[in-house]
Amino acid sequence: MNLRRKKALQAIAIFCAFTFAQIYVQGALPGATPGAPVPQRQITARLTTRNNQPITVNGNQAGTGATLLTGATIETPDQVSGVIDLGDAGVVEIQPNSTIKFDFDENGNVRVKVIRGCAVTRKKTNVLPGEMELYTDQASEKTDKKRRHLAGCLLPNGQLGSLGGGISGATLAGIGIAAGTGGIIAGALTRGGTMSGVNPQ
Amino acid sequence: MNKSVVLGIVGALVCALAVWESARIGYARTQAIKALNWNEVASAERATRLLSSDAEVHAARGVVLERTENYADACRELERAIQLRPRDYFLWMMLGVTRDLNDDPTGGLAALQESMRLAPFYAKPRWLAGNLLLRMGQVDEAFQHLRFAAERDATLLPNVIDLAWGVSGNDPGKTVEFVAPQTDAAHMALAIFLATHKEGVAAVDQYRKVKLPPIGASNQLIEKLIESRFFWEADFVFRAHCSSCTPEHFVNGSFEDDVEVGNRTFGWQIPSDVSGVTLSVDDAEHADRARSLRLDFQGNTNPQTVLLSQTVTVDRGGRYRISFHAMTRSFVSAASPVVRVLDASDEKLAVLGEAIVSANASRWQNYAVDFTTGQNTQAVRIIVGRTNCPNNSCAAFGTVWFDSFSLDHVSEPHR
Repeated sequence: MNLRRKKALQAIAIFCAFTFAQIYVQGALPGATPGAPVPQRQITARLTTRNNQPITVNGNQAGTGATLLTGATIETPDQVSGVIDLGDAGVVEIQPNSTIKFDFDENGNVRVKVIRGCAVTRKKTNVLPGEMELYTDQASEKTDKKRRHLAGCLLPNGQLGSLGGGISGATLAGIGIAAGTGGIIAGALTRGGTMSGVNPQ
Repeated sequence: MNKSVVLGIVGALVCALAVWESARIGYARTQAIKALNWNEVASAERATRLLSSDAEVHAARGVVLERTENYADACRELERAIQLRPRDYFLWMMLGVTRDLNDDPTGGLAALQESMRLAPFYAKPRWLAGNLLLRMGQVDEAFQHLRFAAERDATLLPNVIDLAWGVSGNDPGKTVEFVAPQTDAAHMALAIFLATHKEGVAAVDQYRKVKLPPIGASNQLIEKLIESRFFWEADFVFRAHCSSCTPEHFVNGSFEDDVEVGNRTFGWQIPSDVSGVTLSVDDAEHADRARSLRLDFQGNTNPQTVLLSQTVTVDRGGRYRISFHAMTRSFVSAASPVVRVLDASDEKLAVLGEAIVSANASRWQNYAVDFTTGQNTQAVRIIVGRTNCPNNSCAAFGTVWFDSFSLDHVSEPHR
């Protein structure tokens, strides 16, 4: 065996070893996955309140940055509204002086029961298959392909108020801004004598 | 002379400059405060233009932008404020919150971590970091921060327990693991929470770990356990504060002690808003010992109204007898006074027995109600009211006294 052939054989051997190693690694990775426990991601929502004023979640005070879980009951005082960001599912806005109970799942199904006052739901387009529902003991409104936003107030007869007929994004933004400015007067938030204070809870 | 004039002019100029600078700073900060009070972006911008190297005004503008949901600009403004004042935990905390709102949870967490580094013992940055980590799916790390926050700020404890309950899928064991209570207050808060959520056994487990249970919180726990129909557990907590109280016995059965209005635990309960009847403890008339309970009827009262009640624990499948004394004077009504025994463990409050008090008993008479408890009965509720009448509006006049309530086994029950 001359030197040239020897080198060629060595090169082939290294190439084969490298190739087998690649096959081994690629074959091993899928095998490891089924045995590994898949952590179950908790479906959560994020609360934002106007001017970081506290509102009540399941009877406890909570403010901007608080985490909400499905089944939560949320109550807003006078002049404070809240926004619940459900990520890809959309957004639920609770108006001042209102109480809602909301449930949601990983498919983007969101059910908001209006117990008192008014609420708005805004669905994110085509991200998740689920629909958003605004309901009372007597009435129910759901989003669909044509209607991605819902807004309604609980009427004395248990029905949802006229806002439930579907409103534009501009109107919703107007409601948000109005609620925001409504809360500003109450928002004298300070931190230890300095003026930059806000109070995320 | 000339030198003095020059010095004077220089001094005046320096003073004028100082006055101008003070006025500029004052005006800029006033604008920033105005911006914060009214969420005025224009005022905030004016303030930052006037005082571009002041962390306060940049922070104010950042906060106003965050409130008006311009999160991207708010982040930039807060970052500028942090450049000018890098060791302020609060600015880092605000940046963390704002970055999270700007859909940048990783950046938000980094800012919150810096805030925690600068203020390692403060509750708020920990609370916010815990919430953010929870939403990012890092549950164990999240609860480390949440627990720390609740230890530093006890007002956050109910929120932490509520989150633990939700994250655990309403599992009491996992909830306790997440909360990992270390103090009496934490054990007690968890016990009340679990009792409220119908986890009586787990609630009492937490109560047992409280070294010095406070009376107020214990009463709250008893109320919640009774509401959830965990009567034996409620009785266990009750007896920890009442050494003379024993199960299967009336508390204050002879009315020798005062009856507390608004009591919702064991012992006599009387309504605070009943009309047409006056209840009082009477030391002039009594069947035994020194006092009795007196009811003065003054006209229209709803016969359905429960005038007096007490919950007493019993054993399952036992035969019992309730004895009491009663007396009436000038009592006139189509609906007579009655003592009913209800199964408190039954949602429908099934009537187990009753004794109607004679309207013409001008001397103390002994009455008895025999009853057998069901297989699920943990407690009975003894109520004093009136018998039904056809149109539910039977007026009543006169006086009725009750005394010497007691409960006795007729046969041995089995738990």
